[in-house]
Parts: sequence; C-alpha cells; structure tokens
Amino acid sequence: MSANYIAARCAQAIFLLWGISTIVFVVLRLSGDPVLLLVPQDTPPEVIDSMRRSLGYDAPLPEQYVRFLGRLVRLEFGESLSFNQPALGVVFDRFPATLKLAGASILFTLVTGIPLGILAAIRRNSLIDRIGLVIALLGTSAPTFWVGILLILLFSVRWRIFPSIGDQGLESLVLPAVTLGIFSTAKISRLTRSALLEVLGSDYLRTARAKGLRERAVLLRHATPNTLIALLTVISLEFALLLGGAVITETVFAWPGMGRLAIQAIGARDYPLVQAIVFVFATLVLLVNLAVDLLCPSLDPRLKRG
Amino acid sequence: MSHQGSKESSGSVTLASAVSPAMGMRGRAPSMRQLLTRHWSALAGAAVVLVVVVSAVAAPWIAPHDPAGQNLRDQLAPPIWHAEGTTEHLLGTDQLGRDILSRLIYGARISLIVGFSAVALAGTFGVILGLVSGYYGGVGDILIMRLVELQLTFPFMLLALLVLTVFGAGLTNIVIVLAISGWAGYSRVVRAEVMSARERLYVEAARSLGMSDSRLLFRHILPNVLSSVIVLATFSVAAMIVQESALSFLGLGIPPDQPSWGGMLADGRSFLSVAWWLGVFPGLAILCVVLAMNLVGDWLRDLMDPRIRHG
Repeated sequence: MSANYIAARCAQAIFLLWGISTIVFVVLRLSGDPVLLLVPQDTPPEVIDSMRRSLGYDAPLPEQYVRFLGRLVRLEFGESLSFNQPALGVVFDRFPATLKLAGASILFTLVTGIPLGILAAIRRNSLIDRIGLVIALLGTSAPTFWVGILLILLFSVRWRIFPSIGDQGLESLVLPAVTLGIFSTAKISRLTRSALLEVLGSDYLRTARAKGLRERAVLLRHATPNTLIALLTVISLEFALLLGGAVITETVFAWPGMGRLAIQAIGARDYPLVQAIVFVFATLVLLVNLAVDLLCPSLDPRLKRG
Repeated sequence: MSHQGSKESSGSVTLASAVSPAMGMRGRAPSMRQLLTRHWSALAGAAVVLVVVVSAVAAPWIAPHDPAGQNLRDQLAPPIWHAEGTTEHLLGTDQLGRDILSRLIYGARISLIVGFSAVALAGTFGVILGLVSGYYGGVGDILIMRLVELQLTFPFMLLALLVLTVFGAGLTNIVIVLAISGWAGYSRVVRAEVMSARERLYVEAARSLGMSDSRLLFRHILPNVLSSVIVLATFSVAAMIVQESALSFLGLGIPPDQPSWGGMLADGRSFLSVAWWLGVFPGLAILCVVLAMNLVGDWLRDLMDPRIRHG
C-alpha cells in the first residue's frame, strides 16, 4: 500500500472531522443565545452580559468560530456547563462504559451472525436456512428499544435473571449487549450468507471444484476469504449505527455511557459537552472506517495500488 | 471486485428482467396457487401493509374509542383474553384509561406519513445528487461524495437529537431530519450505477445522436437505475418508521398529545411490572409494519436481480 494512499485517507478523515464539528457548531448557534438558557428567568441584564462575556458568547459568530476551531485543534472543548468540568474529561469518564457495551455487542454479533450465515449459505433452502431467515427478518425489523423492553419484561420483571438498569457488573451487561447487537447479528448473518452465495456460483470456484477440491476446502480456503471484505466494510459502516443504537440502548437500560450522556447534554443544552461527545463519536467511527480501509488491501491483493 | 464486474455486464439485462416478471405474469398467467406458494412472503407483507394503510386512512371510523379519551375508572385494564379483560377494550388500556387498540390505529397514521414522506424527500434529493455526481464527475462529484461520507460518518441519532432539540419536535421536523439522514444512500447507489451506465453503448449512441444531457439523464439513464432505487426506498420506509418511533420513544419525536407507537412505548415503560401490554403491543405494531415492508423489499430485490432469481 502506498504512503500516498494512507496520507490521503488520513487527510480525508481530518476533513470529515472538521465538517462534522462545523455542522455541530452551526446547528447549536442557530438555537439562540445559550446564556439565556443557563440563567433563571429574572436574572438582571448586567449579570447576563458579564456571563456572556466570560463564556465568550459576546464575540461575532465568525470570531467565535475561529476561536472554536483553534481550540478544536488543541482538543479543548471548554467546561461542561452542567458538570463544571472540562467537557472532554466528562466524555472520557463515560467512555469505558460505552466501549464495554459496544465491544460486548460486537462480540455477540460475530459469534452468532457469521456462523449462522455460513450455515444458511451452504445448506441453502434447508430448515436451518429458513430459521436463519426468520431470525434475520425479525432482528432487522424489531426496533432496538422494543427488544430492550421485551428483554426487561422477560428476564428482569418475570424471571428476575438479569438486572434491568445500570452497570452492576458482568450480568448487567448481558441484556444491553444483546439488545444492541441483535440488529447487527441479523444483518451480518444475511450478509455472510449472500456474500458467500455470490462467490459460490462464481467461475473460479467452479474451477476449484473441477480440479477436484473437496467442498470443505472450496468453502473455507476459496470462498470464505472472498466474503471478508464485504463483511468488514459493512461492519465498519455498522459501527456508526451501533453508536447511534447505544444512545437508545443506554437510555432503556440506564447504562452510564456516552449515549445517555448525549441525551442529558442535549436536553440541558450543554454546548461544550455536546460538541465533545459528537467529536468523540465521529472520531471513533472514522478510526474504525480508516482501519478497515487500510486492512482491505491486505485481504484482497487486487485492491493494492501501484 | 468480481461481483461488480458481473453486475456491469448484466446491467442492461437487469432492467428488462426487472420489468418483465411483473408484466410477464400477464403473459404466463400463473395460477393463484403458484402465486401463493412462490411469493407467499411478499404477498403476506403486501397484505399487512395494505391492512395498516387502510386502518390508518379509516381510523376515525374503525377505532372503537377516542384515542385521547381518558377514563380513569378503566386505568390499566388488561387485554380481552386476560381474566380481568373486557370486550370494551380488546387490547386493554393505558395508565390514563385510554384504549390501546384505538391509539394503535391512530398511531399508524404517524408512522406511515413519516415513513413515506421522509423516503420521498430523501429519495428525490439523493437520486438527483447521485445522477449529477455520477454523470458529470469532476469537482461536483468530489464535493457530493465528501458530503455523502460526512453524512454516513455522522451518527444519525446525535444529528437527529441535535436538530430536534434546536428546532423543536413535531411531524415536519422529523420528516426533514429523517430525509437529511437518508439521502446519502441513494446518491451512492445511483452514482455507481450511472458511472457504469455512462460507458454503455446505448448512452454513447444517444449522445452521438446529439441528445441533450438532461434528456439522456432522465429519459435513458434514470430508468436504468430506478430498480435499485425502488428496492432501497422500500427498505428505507421500514427504517424510517423505526427511527421515527425511536425518536418519539426518546421524547423528541411526535408530541405526546398525538398517539405514536414510539411515544406509547415510552409512556408504558414505567408500568412494565404491572401492565406488560403497554410494552408489547405498540412494539408488535412497529415490528409487523417494518417486517412487512422488508418482506416486500426482499422480494423486489430478488425480482430485480436476475442472478439471484435464476440462481
């Protein structure tokens, strides 16, 4: 892989981060004077003015924007208005909880989705393919938060097996992780199946069979590796959805992560905190996408340039 | 990638075969039984969508109660098959004594209006940008593709929460937010298809005959990429319905005075331990509609991809 390609991809990632931060800046400033939302209604105008000045909201918008970009480069988002601490620090405090949740749900997705997809593809139109199809259809159609509610109804209210709220150790991770992962499981299993079916009918596999390879070797050595790129690309795209799903899942299960923090911050119009959260979310998504892009050429030599 | 190559070579066949099965039914006239066995899932999906559309339209006539009508004597009445259930409220009532079934029927209106209008808006916008981007290339293409990437990187939930908090919740704003979140997919798909169509003989022929760009784009290239757009749109309606319900569930979607499925689930959350039906029926309604749309989408996709159909 050429150094130019890596440099171009990194430049693109930085451009996207800038774009996203700018959108957030613009949308937040469109909402009106942030200071008015922070103070009680009968606050004297002098107090409001001095607060505006001390928070830097009195400068013209372009100036505020330039200052915002300058701080962005230094990763300074200012103090969170509701926590009175540096915003990025507040986000990073919640970061491990979200990472734990996302990691557990990706793990759940991979260990259930991929085997289900492979089985469905090689036993096409069999009972297991049909069952896989039904699971996939239900999984992609059921809204995340409803799956969470159903799991709480069954496993917390009725059978009292798992706790329904908060982070109280490993067992409280089970329901949120399954809730968050079920959509991706359904998608990954279908994708594995269709990617595999696509290559199973291709010429080079016919050649492989024609030269007398056993079906197992054809499947594992020749077919499956060629589905990896499609799979990896989708998983990386799925990651943005996963983080979005985390916002809902964390709300349903009162999980102390970044998603719930986002809802709180937006509700409180805590601008610095919102900016920091969006920045961290977007950086995560970009890093995962970048990693997959850089990984793909090593999986498929045709993608190597030059 | 290998499958792209084969897609390109079979591209012009795609349209012909995409159109022919639907029309071909007239020619071959398959029996009712053949239809039912071969396409049962799509038919079931279409039937569910039809039922929901009809009930949404006819809500004032078929809903047994006023969806907002509170009756504190009938609070948290269970569904009819429950020992304490009554025929008065088939699916029970909520914490304010409102009839669940009536609220579900009225809630269908919100889901359908949001789902279809958001897709129409996102689709129109996305297809036009995709056509321009794929056909003309150059700086416009680069700009549009950067926008698409930006859109796909921005976590939708955060964007939606942000915009709805700033501009206020409500039907119109939800449709706009969902459209903003959904256009990028169409642009990408259309761009890719246009780029391969651009090199085809029929386009070259039309161009050499002196056809204008806009006529070529809309009369010849657009119909060729439309099959992919229709498939995408069908799945997208389902996705939009889920997203609307999620936003309403978070309290940022449809205002609470209007019955929406997501809002009903949010209301019912605090009563799960005493009234399971509040947490089950609205979700079941979402699941049914979304599942139905996905089934129709699956069928359309298979229909329009000859490789899968004959495979």
